[in-house]
Amino acid sequence: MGWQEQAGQLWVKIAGRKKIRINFWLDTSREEEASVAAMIYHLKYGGYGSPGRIFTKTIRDGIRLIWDLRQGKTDVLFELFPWIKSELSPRTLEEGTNRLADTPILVEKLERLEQLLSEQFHPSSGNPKALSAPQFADPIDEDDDDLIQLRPVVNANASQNLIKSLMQLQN
Amino acid sequence: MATHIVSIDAGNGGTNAVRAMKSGGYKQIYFPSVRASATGESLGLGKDLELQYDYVDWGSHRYVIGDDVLRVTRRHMERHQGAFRYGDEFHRFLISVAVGKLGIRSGSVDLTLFAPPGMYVQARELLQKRLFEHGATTMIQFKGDKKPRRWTYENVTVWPEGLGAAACFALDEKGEVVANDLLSGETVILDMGVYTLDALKLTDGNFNPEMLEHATWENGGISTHILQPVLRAIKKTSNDFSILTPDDIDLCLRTGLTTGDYTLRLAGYEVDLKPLIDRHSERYAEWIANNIIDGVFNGLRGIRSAILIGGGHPLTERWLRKWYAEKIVDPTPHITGKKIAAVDMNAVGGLRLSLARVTS
Repeated sequence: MGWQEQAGQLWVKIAGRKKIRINFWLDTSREEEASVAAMIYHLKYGGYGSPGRIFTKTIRDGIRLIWDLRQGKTDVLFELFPWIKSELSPRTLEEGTNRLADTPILVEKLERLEQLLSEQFHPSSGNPKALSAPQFADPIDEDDDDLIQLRPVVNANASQNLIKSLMQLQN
Repeated sequence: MATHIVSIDAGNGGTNAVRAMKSGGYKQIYFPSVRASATGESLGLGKDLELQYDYVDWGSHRYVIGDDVLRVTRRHMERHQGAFRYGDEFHRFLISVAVGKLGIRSGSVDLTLFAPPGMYVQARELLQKRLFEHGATTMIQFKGDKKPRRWTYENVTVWPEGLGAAACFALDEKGEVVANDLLSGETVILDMGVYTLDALKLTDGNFNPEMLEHATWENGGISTHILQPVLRAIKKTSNDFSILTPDDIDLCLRTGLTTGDYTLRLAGYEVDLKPLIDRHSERYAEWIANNIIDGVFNGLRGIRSAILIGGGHPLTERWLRKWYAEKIVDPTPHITGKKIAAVDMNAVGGLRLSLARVTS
């Protein structure tokens, strides 16, 4: 029977058996890890939309999913969440059946925005009219570099200044 | 006027000392700032059969100094690093050994010393007080001397580290002002020593004395960032290496920088330290970039140039130049006289300042 410690947190017991058990720590003083602990509770015992008794399966699926995605693959993603595949289907986009765009509230907001933009440039009779003032061209940013001339400054007295400063230290 | 003009940077890692020669130019020496007790006894077997080494008699004790400490004996090995050493017995010992190694046996000495900017005010007071509290005369006897050497400190000047180095390119070898544009505009001087890292900003050569206090990072030097980490790594490889000290790594590093051979040999083993040194040198450069250059000096925005000096220069320059490109300026083309290594710039700058003062 051998024990192997990795990173001080995860240890694996290899006992010549087909099954292996893996434990890991959660620091519940950290908010993110505390919420993970809460999720694990509901995965085990149910609640918040979880039927319970699916913790181990979730761990297995989660590791498979992350591993696959990090390799640039989406096979496990589509296996576990088939509806995502249909969302991303080109045929679905061509038929214009984007699920989000069917939302009535969103359509209403987009129409309102369009109206506001239109009124800003073409006000209705009830709104103030733009003055018929002559149009001026935008100012052109001139290149002022030719007006700037960097010159090195040489102070021939710098050495003398140093000696004077040093001599003053002795006074 | 003093008989001898000497400038000594008795740093935490090593002691650099220069002496103005009457014929022109200067004499220069260096030794690691470490000592150990020694007996100096000989079996009379001659130099072919006995290990030969130098020692000094200082006070009532005999010492081996510098690299001889590792070669001959590690008994009572002693360093004193940190903020409290200025003018203490060990510091005075290093100064005296340096003066003696420069060939001085008697007379009066115009002495220049250095302290980190962040401790400058306190260190200057301590140095000037402690060097004179037992009288201005110093005695020390080297191996081979028939009698102790004796000289008097006629004048003691203390400069902030880094700024003393800047005098290398502000003055020529005779102590006269050099008109160049190296210090024009905003300049940052980074002095990477063994214990401290000092960072000073100048504007057209001027600096704000009020800012000196904030210019030193203790434990910002190569001991903390390179020597100690390399030593820790090496000690883990073998029990035999457990007796190694930072001085062993320092010796290997200095040898490698000079000869290209970074091999450490002990107890029948050898190991090439270059990969480790390179790794920690880059890490040190990153630390400097993050904490000092970006953290304090806005990534050198608004700064015309940054000048790197000190022992850490050859270890970090290529990384800092890679990240900050044209902002890292090599000052050596602006230095008159013979080429000066970055680690020697404080001592040589101090000598030039002394010459400027005595000839004015």
